[in-house]
Amino acid sequence: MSMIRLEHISKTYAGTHKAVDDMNWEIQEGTITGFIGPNGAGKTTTLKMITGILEPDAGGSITVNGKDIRREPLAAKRQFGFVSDSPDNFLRLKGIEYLNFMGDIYQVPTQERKERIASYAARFEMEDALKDRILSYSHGMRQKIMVMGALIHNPAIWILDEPLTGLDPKSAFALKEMMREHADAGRSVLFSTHVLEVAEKLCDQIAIINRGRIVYKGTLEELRGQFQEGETLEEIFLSITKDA
Amino acid sequence: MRKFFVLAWTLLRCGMGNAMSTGTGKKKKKRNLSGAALWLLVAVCLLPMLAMLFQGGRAGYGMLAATGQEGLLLELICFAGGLVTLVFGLPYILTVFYMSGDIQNLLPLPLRPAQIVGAKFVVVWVYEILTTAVIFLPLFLGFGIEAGAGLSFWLITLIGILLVPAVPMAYAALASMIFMRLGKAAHNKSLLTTLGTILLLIVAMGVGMLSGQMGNMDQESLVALVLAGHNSLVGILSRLFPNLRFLVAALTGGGAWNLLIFAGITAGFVALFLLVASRLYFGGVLTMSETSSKRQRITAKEEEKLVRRSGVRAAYLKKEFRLLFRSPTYFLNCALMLPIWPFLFLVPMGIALVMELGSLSEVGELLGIVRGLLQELPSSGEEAALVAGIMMLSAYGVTVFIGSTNLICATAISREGEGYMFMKYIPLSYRQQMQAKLLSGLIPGLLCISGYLLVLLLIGVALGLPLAAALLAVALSVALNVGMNCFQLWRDLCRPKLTWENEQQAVKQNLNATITLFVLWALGLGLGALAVWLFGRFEISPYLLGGGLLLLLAALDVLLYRLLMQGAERKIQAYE
Ligand SMILES: Nc1ncnc2c1ncn2[C@@H]1O[C@H](COP(=O)(O)OP(=O)(O)OP(=O)(O)O)[C@@H](O)[C@H]1O
Ligand SMILES: [Mg+2]
Repeated sequence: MSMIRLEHISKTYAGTHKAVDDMNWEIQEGTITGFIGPNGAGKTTTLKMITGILEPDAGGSITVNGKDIRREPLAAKRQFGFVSDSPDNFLRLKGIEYLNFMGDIYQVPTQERKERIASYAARFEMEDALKDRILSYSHGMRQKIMVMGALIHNPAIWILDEPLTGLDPKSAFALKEMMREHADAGRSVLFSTHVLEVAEKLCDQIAIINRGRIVYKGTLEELRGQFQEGETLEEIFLSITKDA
Repeated sequence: MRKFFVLAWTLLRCGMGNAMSTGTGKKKKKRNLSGAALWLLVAVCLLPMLAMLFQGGRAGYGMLAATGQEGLLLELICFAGGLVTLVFGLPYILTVFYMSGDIQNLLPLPLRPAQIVGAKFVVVWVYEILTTAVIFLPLFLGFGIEAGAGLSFWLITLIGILLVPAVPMAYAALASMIFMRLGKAAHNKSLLTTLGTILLLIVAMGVGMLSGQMGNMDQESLVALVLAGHNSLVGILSRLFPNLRFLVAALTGGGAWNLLIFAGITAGFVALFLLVASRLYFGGVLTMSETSSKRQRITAKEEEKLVRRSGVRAAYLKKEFRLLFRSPTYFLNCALMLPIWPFLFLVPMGIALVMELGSLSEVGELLGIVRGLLQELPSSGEEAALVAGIMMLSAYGVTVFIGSTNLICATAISREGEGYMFMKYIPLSYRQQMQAKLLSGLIPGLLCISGYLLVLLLIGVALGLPLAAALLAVALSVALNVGMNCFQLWRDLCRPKLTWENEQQAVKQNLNATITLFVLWALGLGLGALAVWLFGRFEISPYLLGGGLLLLLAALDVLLYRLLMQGAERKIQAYE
């Protein structure tokens, strides 16, 4: 079954600029999907449409874990946890207050909440920071608390916009490990990134987007098969997203 | 020098340029129209005041010229201008120097400290010139026209308006810098800023009261006061602002050299200020963005308290309150008036009473007399009706005026800024979110307006006022509060200002706050005036009128609430 399904999705900004162009895409359960593309390609726009932040142009449909984001918005929104690329909300809350707030919003039982907070905090080494205001956190710490908040209800789908930028090696490793476990449990992860090595090592599937169109989707091995032996992923990426 | 001007210009443009912009960029034409309408409204509201000042200038000249003392009036105007700058300037100085949050961006640029401080000073200066001109121009116009003054008078007036704010501003800026420097070590910077502003407000209130006292005096004692010189208030003021004497001398035909001295002293003050401030300023401002952190683990016991389940709306409301009250910018701009308004009225009234009567025991006597009078009130008849009417009208008026300064709802969505995305991806319906936001403004409004009124009125009831009128008055206040908050939130929902650089812009340069304020005043005044007219014209019982008004307001509340709830789904869905 597909966890996320996009059919004929387009997005036009300000009436003229087509940021996403007739996208059709299915994301399978049990996979980690990497969303790759140059700056301004339309990654953030796509993720925002999937999460209900942006409304796609008329005509297409988006379903998340079987729920249509437009027809059953609340049910659809319960299916995922989302981390945006600008994690600067709630700066005046303490870390723990933020996590508890998210727990309330997603109606997570107290005991589960405590367990998850403890386990995430340990993995991200955030135990000593939870009592302080997010304002006093570094960029990476803010990123981590946002990830913790988004995952507090153990959603079926994780949607993360550039989650690894700003994380130190240890935290990045922890997050990647968590993504793997999540996918192996039969759920799915969709995240955007610029770092090709990450995509290479971590992802089961990749989608390459350029100028609002998905120019490749599938596994990395298949992609390599289409190109000559010995070409690096970087070279492949550059040639696919070349302005042609 | 060029760098300095470029910087000052940039800061000015950033600070004021987008004061008039809200919304997300669509519907350009409509925005201009409503912007123009707003300025028109402001102008209409200001006109009577300007006319009054103009008349004051004329009458003052007529009064004093007879005895050849017209210079006194100019002196008083100048001092008043200086005081106004001092009082109104303080919050603005705090804003520009300490709360604008741009210092982190300015420091890496190749600028000298004096250039940064100077540019910020210019920004405040321009703003102050605009404020003082509103008071100065009509007064001087009245005075000058009545005196048949020549070109040199007008020229000097112009120079005066430009230069008068400088010295009081330097004082205000230095005072706030010293305060901030002293508070440098404080752990909770936001609390410090909040307390500092409240302190300054109290100081400003005291100054305002003293000048109010001055305004109450009759002509002779005023003249005597000014002539008495050294020990009087004016004596103190002329020592506080030593440059103003020369401006007055120049205005009354004392020769051009007086103007030079005036300008010279002013320039000296500014130079001295720059010298001191460029040393003092950076020490305090740089720690503004620091937040204390403990880096401690949460103990099991704390966890019991911190991690606890509550309903979605309650959780959302708690979040709204936390974000609002923990940011000094938000708290001071949106909610400050709510907790302190009775003190702003009662404390000066109390002090004035004591000063007027001389001693506390006499105040006690007076209260006794008042009490006696109240208890002898007839329980029916015209006087009783008048008392009941006045009680309801005051509750109504206070709620309209204080309630319109409650900007929590009027900025509730704008304050989300780019974070509005959060509202859209959580599984919480927009209605529920709006309900929580409505409560975030309504609860403080009810507690601090209707609640205070209830206490005040009950004290009145204990002294002999009619209970029924008191209850009806409080009910009116509650109904008004609900409607006003619904309206404010609805306006912000329709066109929130979601793009801003710092918190300051989200609330201070938010047109929704201004528009709702004026609309609520206009509607409130209109409805109140209608009730008073009905009361006077047809002698309808105030209870009947109050009850009718209550029903009307309740109907409006229902209507506005439904409008808000219906708008919620559609409008928020369309934000991008
Ligand atoms: N609010 C907006 N209004 C108008 N155009 C926008 C808006 N947001 C994005 N765009 C445009 O849409 C296109 C896609 O932007 P998007 O943010 O989705 O790119 P991205 O792939 O996430 O890039 P990056 O790797 O830099 O994060 C860009 O051309 C951008 O200029
Ligand atoms: Mg992006």
